[in-house]
Amino acid sequence: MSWSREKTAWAFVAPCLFVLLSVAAWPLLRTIFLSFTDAQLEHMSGAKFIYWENFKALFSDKDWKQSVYNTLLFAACSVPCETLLGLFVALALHKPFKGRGLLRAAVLVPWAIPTIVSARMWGWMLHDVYGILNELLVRVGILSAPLPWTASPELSFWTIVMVDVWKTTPFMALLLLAGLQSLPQDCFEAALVDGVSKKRIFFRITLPLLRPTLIVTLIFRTLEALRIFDLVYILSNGGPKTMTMSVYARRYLVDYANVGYGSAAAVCLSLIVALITILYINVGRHRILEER
Amino acid sequence: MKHLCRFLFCALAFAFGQAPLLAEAGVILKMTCRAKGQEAELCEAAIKEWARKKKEETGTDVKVEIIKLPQSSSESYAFTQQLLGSQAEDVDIYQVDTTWSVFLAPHVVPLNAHFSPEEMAAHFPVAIQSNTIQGNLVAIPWYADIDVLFYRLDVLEKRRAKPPTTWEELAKTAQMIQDYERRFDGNTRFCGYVFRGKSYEGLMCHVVEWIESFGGNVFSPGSLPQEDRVIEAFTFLSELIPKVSPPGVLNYTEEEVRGVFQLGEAAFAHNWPYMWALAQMSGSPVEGKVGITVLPRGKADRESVSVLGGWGLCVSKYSKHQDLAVDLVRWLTRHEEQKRRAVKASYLPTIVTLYGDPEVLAKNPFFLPISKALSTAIVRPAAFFGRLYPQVSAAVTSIAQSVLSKELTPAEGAKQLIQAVETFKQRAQSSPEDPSAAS
Repeated sequence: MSWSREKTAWAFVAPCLFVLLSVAAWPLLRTIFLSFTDAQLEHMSGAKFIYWENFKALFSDKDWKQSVYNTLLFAACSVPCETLLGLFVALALHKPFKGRGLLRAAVLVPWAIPTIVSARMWGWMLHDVYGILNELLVRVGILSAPLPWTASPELSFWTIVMVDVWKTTPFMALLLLAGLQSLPQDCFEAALVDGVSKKRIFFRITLPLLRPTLIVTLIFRTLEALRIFDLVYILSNGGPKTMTMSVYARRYLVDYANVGYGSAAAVCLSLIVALITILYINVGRHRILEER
Repeated sequence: MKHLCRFLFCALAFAFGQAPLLAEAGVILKMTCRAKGQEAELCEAAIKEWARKKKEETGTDVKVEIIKLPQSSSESYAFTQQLLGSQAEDVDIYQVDTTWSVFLAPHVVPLNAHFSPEEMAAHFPVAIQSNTIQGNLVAIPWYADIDVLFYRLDVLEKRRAKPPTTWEELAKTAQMIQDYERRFDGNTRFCGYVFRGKSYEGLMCHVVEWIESFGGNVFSPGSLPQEDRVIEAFTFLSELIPKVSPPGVLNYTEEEVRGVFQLGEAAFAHNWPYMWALAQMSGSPVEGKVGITVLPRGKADRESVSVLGGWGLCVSKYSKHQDLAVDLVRWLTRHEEQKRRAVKASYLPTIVTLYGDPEVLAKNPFFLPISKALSTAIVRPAAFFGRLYPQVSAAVTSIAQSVLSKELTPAEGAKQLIQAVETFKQRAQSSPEDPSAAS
């Protein structure tokens, strides 16, 4: 009986596994293979095996180093902002009040708009001559002259962080809200009966109970942040100073049709992401163990 | 389980059975078309007319689907390269830039087999030449593009200034106008000179024009670069921001340049001629206030240099409806259609006789001086660098951006630029599989 049940289970899972293997594992293996060759888009069949040449060239390219640095800095700046703001929004939405359903839906709007569309929209709003943001800030008197939000490398980095925070905070808020709603209510009731202050409740009960959710959302967000592509591609001025790892890999894969070298960059990108994920999970687990 | 299998089988049979049915309903041609300014509408209108004519003449129902190309030509190139490089049959006709010829050659139908010598001779020789690779015409020219200098008639008149003839004059006049507008007329956003400063092919055209008009000799293959001239050109560039150009210019493509100029916020704009028709359209804030001239020279005793751009149409070798596609290409590039595009939207015809057409000239009085510039325009070194060209272009624009934003001094920039281009020249010559290196 149980064997046949297991068989049925496998039969049901098989199509899913097949799809996963063909769309995730196969391309990944092929990318790793290609990264050791000198494949060009047009001469894929004539690719020669060149061992570590692509990687050697990659590690000596200063644009690649710059893009790794940019990506890490971007993740380090945007993820904490998004988590804190998201937590704040989630706590606010957790309290029952009139029109909460409507507000919850409204908060999700930035997340619901496709990034390409919202990035374009921000691009126009941030334009230095006819953008609405400069116009408002100058009129109110915060700025004395319009700023080139997306043109100078330093400023455009922070602009991209800002737009990313605007876009992703709702997502974090939603995940954390789900976490908040699933917390056991008896602890809170007991605390209320004992007359514990609100601040204490938050730091001693809410936050520790929310930790698993927080860690999952953090991992999620960090991974997303490390492969950031669309915002940078649309908002930045296309120079190497604002490139992230994905933009760099795309440039070689697509613009320069250099599939071998581009694949090497893509492989390094996935390795870095994998490494950071492992670190994250281990640190998270370690802390939980320590407390016990 | 049985039911599930039956259902799946039916669903699959339905899905696969449907495909041939759809295809038999009529021929579907797919074509890429740019969407800058009014381009997509022009293209759609002409294609509709052709489809109607086809239906009347032969009774075949042809549906043409337009795939709009990205605004940046670098992105359009990447897109086209992916499709043709993987030998996709999905698209029959491609709108292509003159700099892509080397890449296109093995993937397209040679059009000299389909067009008569008279038909080809009607076009500018330079336009045909730049689309010809080893005797094969890879694309038939559709329109030419050449950078020009737009200026505001009213603003120049107000300050008693003349259109500049050298880059130095341009910088001086633009700065004077910008200062006056900002200080005395309270027009705080007004800029002197705007151009395409984003790191892409549009900036590459500018860089070639700036450097070669100063006599830098960097981009023509087999010539000796003049470092001091490049330094002169870069000195001019390094003094633009923020005195005459807004810092945001480093993220402008052609449409952002048009946005600023058409809103009346710039005295000079460096851009393609398509901007003329839109800026002069009724309802435009600068309607009737726009002047056009050829690009300034490096020094009074040197020549003005403009880069020849321009787009053509080619037919994919992997298309299943090649004859029909060639027919549509002929229709779109013919005399009447080029005239319609010139009158309606200021696209520069590639057919020489249209520059003597009174109707065209009445609408575009600037065509006459420009046709002269067209005959002396230089081509970008795309054929020489072959598939390395996108990399050359990215390296050059990145250095130019650093000079514009003063991260590099003109001398450092000049040294880096010459070194980068020379390295690529050596690589282009040493790679034997490159068809362009042999020619």
